[in-house]
This record gives sequence, C-alpha cells and structure tokens, in this order.
Amino acid sequence: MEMFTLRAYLNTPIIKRGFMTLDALLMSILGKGDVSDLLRCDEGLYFASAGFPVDSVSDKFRASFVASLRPEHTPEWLEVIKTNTRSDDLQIGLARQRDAGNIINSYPTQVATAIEWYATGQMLDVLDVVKDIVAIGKRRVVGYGEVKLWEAELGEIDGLVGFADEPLRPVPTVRWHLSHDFVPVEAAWKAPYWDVRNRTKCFVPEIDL
Amino acid sequence: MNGPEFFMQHAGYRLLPEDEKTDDVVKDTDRLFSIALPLNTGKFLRLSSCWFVVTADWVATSFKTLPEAGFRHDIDRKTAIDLALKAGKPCVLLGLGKRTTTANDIYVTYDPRAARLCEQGKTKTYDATKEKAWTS
Repeated sequence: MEMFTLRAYLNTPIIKRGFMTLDALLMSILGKGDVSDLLRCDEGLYFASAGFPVDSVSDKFRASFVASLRPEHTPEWLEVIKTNTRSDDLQIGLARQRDAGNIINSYPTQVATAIEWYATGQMLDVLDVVKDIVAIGKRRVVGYGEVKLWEAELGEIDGLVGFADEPLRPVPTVRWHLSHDFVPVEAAWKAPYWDVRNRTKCFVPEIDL
Repeated sequence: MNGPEFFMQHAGYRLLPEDEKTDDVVKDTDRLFSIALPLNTGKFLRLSSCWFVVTADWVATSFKTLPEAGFRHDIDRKTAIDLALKAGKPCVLLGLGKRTTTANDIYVTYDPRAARLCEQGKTKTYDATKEKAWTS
C-alpha cells in the first residue's frame, strides 16, 4: 500500500456536507461497508482523509431548492399530511392542502477547482473505482459537484495526519498520539457515519462555526 | 462517550420508567422522547417544548420533572448554559420544540470553543468564548 493524493477536478460548485472522507466515498460507490482491500484500516480507522477543497472561493453561498409538495398534483402527500385520527378519513380541506405547499431547502455551496483526498492504500485500484463517477456531493442530479477529471499521484501524507501534525479526518481523541491542542468535538469516526453509535469524542480537521 | 450515552447516563435514565429500559442506549433515548412522562403538576407530557442543560454534576431543565429526578429548576437557560460551558467539562445543551427529538440530535459539547446547541434535526455549533457575556 502506498501514500497517495486523489483529486477530483470540478466543473460546477459542490454541496459538501460533513467530512466526505475517501473511505465513505468508496463505500457509497461500491455499496459495501468495508473497503479495507483498497485503503489501509487499523481497527476501524481508515487512513483516508476528509475531502479538502482546492483553490476554493472563501465565501460560501447557499443554493436553495423548492420542492412543490402539493397533494393536488402528488396524491402520495395526502398520506403524509392526513389528519391524525383513528378513521381512515382522508378528507382534507384546501387550507390543509396548502399546508404542504412549497418546501424550501438551502445548502451551503462551495466553489472550488477540485476536491482533494490524502490516503494510504492501493492508488490505482482506488482510481479505477472512482474514474467513472461524474458527480460528487449533494444535489448531483441538478448539476452540482460535476467532476471533469479524476487524478491520483503518489504523496507524502498518510490520510490521518497533515504536515502540521493536524488531523485530516475525524480521529477519536483516545487514538490521537500527537498534540492535543485541537478543539475536540463529537463526530462519527467510522462507517456507517450516520449511525450515532459510531460517534465519539474526536479531533477533526475543521469545524464549521 | 457520545451524546445519547451522556444524556441518558446523567439525565434520561432518571426519567425513563424501569419497564421501558433496554440494553440499547440509542433505543432508550428514542423511547424517552416518544412517551409521556409524569410532571410535578400531576399531568403527563411528552418531553418537548423545553430545554435541558446536562452536566455530569447537575442537570437543569425547564421541564416540570418530579422532584425525585433531582434536576435543577432554579436557574434560567442562559445562566445554565454559561455555568456549564465555563466549568470546562463535557455537557449537553438541548433545546426541544414540538417535534420529536431522536438520539441522533444529541451531541456532547467537549469544549466551549465548539459549543453545540442541539435542537431537533439540527445542531448549531458556535464559539462561546467569543460571546460578549463570556468575560463578564
């Protein structure tokens, strides 16, 4: 296994939520929860960094999306907004129909030349897995996070610790043997990252304050 | 230790009835927020529309818990948050609205520079040491 840097050059802004670690990206592409054949893994902790934007514009903006959830057009929504009664009466007046209406969601969006990951593993195999991925991040189907080129090269960072001895991904504080001059937060450090059971006190690369 | 474990250990298990407890702290947390709990007024109410500040030493809340729980009701929310953060020990800052809270919504604050104000479905992270009231 070798240390390498993986880079996804972007055509469009990216909506990046969370740390978007390389192991999580590979797991989502391959549809499996274990990628230790591709990346170095010590007791559940992958040597795979979070995704870092390259040449990013410092100001983040928010991309807003409207979902028009109108039961007149989408009958499935009648089930969601029906009255909370024991009967199966789905009679809903116009006022309650309008309650659904337009739902607006906005996401912090970032403009960057590329997203970069540092890792230890099988560089060529990882590149082979990601090379056909056309978009990353959230709201891909509407054009965000479009990738124009994947690139991998040998590097000097193992995916856990940066040049300034800073954490490059969420690492449990009990497993961090360098300086403890970082702000600890509760974060998921292993997959599945959505599972609260995998959250613990960690040092993380950046905190979105 | 994660948010649900911390919250249940220091506050939740004092509220959750014995027959509702399981071996799974996440399930217990979700159960706690979905059942009606006895109030000191004699009524029952789901855990909502209130706040909790949970530390290892004390718990303050606006929820009208029974006296047996041993929670503090003598301080307001802002004072409780200030006390907890300035103590420099882990704490949980929880603000509950009408929607049901889940275990996923609860995070421990380990450092006042990254205080995590937990609400249903979202967490606001802020640097409490930069607040105007921090030095006063």
